[in-house]
Amino acid sequence: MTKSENVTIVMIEDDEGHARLIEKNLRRAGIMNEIVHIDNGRKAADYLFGRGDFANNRPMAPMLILLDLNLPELDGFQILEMIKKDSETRLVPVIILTTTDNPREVERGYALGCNVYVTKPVEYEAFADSIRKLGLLLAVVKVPGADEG
Amino acid sequence: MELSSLNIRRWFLAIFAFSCLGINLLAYILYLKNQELIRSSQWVMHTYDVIAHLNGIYGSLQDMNTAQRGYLMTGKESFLGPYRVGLEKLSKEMPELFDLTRDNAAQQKNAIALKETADRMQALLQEQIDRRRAGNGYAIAEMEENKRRMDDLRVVYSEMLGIEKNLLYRRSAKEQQSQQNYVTTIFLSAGLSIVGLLLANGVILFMTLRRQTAEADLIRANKEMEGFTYIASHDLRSPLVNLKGFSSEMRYGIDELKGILERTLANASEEDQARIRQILDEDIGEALKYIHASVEKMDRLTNAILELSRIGRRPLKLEPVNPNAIVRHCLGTLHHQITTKGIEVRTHPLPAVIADQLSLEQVFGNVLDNAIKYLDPSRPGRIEIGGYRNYRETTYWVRDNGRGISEGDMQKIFEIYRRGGNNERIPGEGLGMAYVRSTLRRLSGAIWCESKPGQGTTFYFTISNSLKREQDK
Repeated sequence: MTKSENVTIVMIEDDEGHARLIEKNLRRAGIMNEIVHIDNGRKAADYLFGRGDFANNRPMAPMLILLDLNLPELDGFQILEMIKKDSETRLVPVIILTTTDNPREVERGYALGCNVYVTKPVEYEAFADSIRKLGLLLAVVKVPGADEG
Repeated sequence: MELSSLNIRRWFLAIFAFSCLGINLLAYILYLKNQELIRSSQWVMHTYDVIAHLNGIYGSLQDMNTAQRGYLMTGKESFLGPYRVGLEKLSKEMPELFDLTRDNAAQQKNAIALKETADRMQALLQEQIDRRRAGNGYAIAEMEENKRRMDDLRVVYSEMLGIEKNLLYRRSAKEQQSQQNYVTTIFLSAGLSIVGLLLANGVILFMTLRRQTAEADLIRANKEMEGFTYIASHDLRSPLVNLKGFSSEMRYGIDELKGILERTLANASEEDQARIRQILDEDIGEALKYIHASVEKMDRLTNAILELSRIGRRPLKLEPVNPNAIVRHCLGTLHHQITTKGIEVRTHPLPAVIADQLSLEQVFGNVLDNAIKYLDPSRPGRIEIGGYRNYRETTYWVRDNGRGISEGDMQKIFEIYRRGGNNERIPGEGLGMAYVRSTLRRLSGAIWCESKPGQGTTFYFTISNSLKREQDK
């Protein structure tokens, strides 16, 4: 039995407004998981690998990462690279959620190992729709560690 | 860029002119040296000539003397043969010697002395011959007289010969000097030419390098600009997501609020009810409507920049393109408008070109679309398409009888977001022509138009015939 409800969604997004809209739409799509919002690349790395402010406090629960690309201090690609290099976070699903649809960036995202690349459309209906689909995806995705949790 | 290429052209012209001048100068100097050499050789030859004449004259007189003596002794006429030959030679060579020594006053005087001596001698010889012929003998004293005459002659002859030999020595030395000068000049010219060539090559190399650097700078600046446009358009999008998102959330909130108020509003005063309805339906609704419309417009504009920046990124695929097929295709997609508006379209055969198919489709598509869009609704539309090709480029034109473009708008229509006047009720972002111009620039071409307001417009655009060569470089 999959206990996907135990999965923590880590949302790394520096735009407060975008974070709110994403959360609202995830909730509206019926996703009730805990959502941790981090608005800075460095902080996100600290959180994921239990460093700095989060020393000795590495998250144990299975998680899924929603990652923006343009972030202060460390950008999304750098974080993605770190996640995929670390043996403990290597298998954590990463969804890139960003405004950029530059084919080169999309390609680089997939090359670095992201699972899904989603563009935030300006059109709100389309935006909500993307997040809703993401919610559907979350409901069926098999997150490593979720079964044991 | 244009300024610097103009400078390069000036430099080349200057170097070229300088080289031409230098080569001509060297040739002239060589010519002068050569003339000098010829002159000094002529002088040497001249001196030899004078010496030969002197020897000839002296020899003739000696021959005459000998022959006459033989005749005097034997009385045989046959002895006089060499005498006559000598006489004849003398009569020829003496005037020649005069001519030859005209350049030298001392020698001229000597020549006169020589002639006088020779004449006296000849007169003496002849007199003795005549006497012998008349049967008289000859005296020893006469022989002595002959010898004295001969001695006189030898003195003048030696004097002249000495002068000429001296001259010969000096002139030969001068000739040798000229020869050396000539050879030196030739080597010097060759050396100078080589130095000049090296210098010119150096300058050309320098110019080429500088130009390459400038080109590299330009390409880099262009890339940076493209990157900048791309990032800007994306970063502009980010706040738009919020604007659109939260205004939509507001709309959802209002809709929900309305539902709740419908149920509770019955308790409020009639005045309040009316005011609340007005706020919800009109005031807030209107505000949201404008926010939405503006955000959408902003989104379209940023997308337009993005699209324009993408033109420079797409790799061109150069191949033979048939513009007739492209125009047919474009007219096909516009078929509905053409038939409903009753537009008459005339297409002349178009010259083929080597270009990028997609680019050409977009250019023709935009230009034809514009031609139809800006027709004058008050008269039946007419559109004509043609083209011609010359050595450098291929030109296509699209002529319409539309509303026309005023003088002031001619340049504006090719700028992003700008549109010509009287465009009310004609949809568009003001992107098409900017897009076309950027596309053609990549094809080393250009676009311009001729127009009379109220009569129509002709758009001309060109594509370079040497694209393939340029790309292969």
